[in-house]
Amino acid sequence: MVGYRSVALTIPTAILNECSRTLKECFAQVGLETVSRIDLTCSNRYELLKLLRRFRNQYDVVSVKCTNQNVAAIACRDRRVDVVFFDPNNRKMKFTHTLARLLNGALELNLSFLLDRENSDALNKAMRQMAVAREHRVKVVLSSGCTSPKMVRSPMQLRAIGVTLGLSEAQSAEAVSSVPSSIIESNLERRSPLYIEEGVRLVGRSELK
Amino acid sequence: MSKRYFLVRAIFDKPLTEQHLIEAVATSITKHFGEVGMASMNLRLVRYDPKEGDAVVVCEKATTNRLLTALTFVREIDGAPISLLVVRTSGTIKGLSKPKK
Repeated sequence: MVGYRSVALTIPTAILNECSRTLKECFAQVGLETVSRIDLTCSNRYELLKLLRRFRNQYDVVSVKCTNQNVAAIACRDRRVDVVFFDPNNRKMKFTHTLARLLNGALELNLSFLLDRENSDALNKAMRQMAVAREHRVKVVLSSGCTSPKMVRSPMQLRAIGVTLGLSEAQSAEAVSSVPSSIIESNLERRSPLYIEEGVRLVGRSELK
Repeated sequence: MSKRYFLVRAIFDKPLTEQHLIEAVATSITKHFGEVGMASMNLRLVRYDPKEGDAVVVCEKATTNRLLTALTFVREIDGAPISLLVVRTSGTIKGLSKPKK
């Protein structure tokens, strides 16, 4: 009805195997594909690297909440991280030009942070993030980050938020459609048994003589 | 000036009157874009079905993104949580009811 094709579900690791199939079937009934997603929140780089080693292969999308400068630098540089996001309520942490230059994945803007905002600073902070992202041509993902049906917004509303926050029309449309879908496609390919390493893929098997 | 029509679906727990809906949208526009922004939109509620929660609103085409943003930020009406989902946009009212290609 709203216009989404797939949805990324943040599933706790303890119930990943039990719930993923049930959830997949539930969403398939309404014509939505599902991908599993994990949000890593770490206090230091060692913890982040440990969690990445442990969970990268279990989830389709890995995102990291940047809580401090060390974690943000590692998360931006590491190629196993798909998206990074910043809590606008965390005054100490912001998306800087240095992080934008380091970033391999994409920057995510969660609409839930803007909807839940207690202070008007969240919008201002999001605008500054988008200005940096635009300057460095960083890939941006606009997501609803919803935890209840009342927080769901349509893709065209997300696109409009992107434009209002300072992204161009094209960049904003990509942030809702092509960037998230390319992340999902590349990760699904990476997790397939035919994948060897980046640029190397098994195209067929034959008996060696 | 060309216009843009929006089919908006309200998802709510408490019954929502037309007056409440107009007030909520107008407040959100004024809060985020000011009185001048509100005036430049030339906003009008064309129709509203309180049972289904479907509404058709119209604004100037140039202010489409502003209206969509303002609708996104409507979170509650009279303390009850609400979501205003923009299901479809079109240049004509007739276009809103046409099946998707």
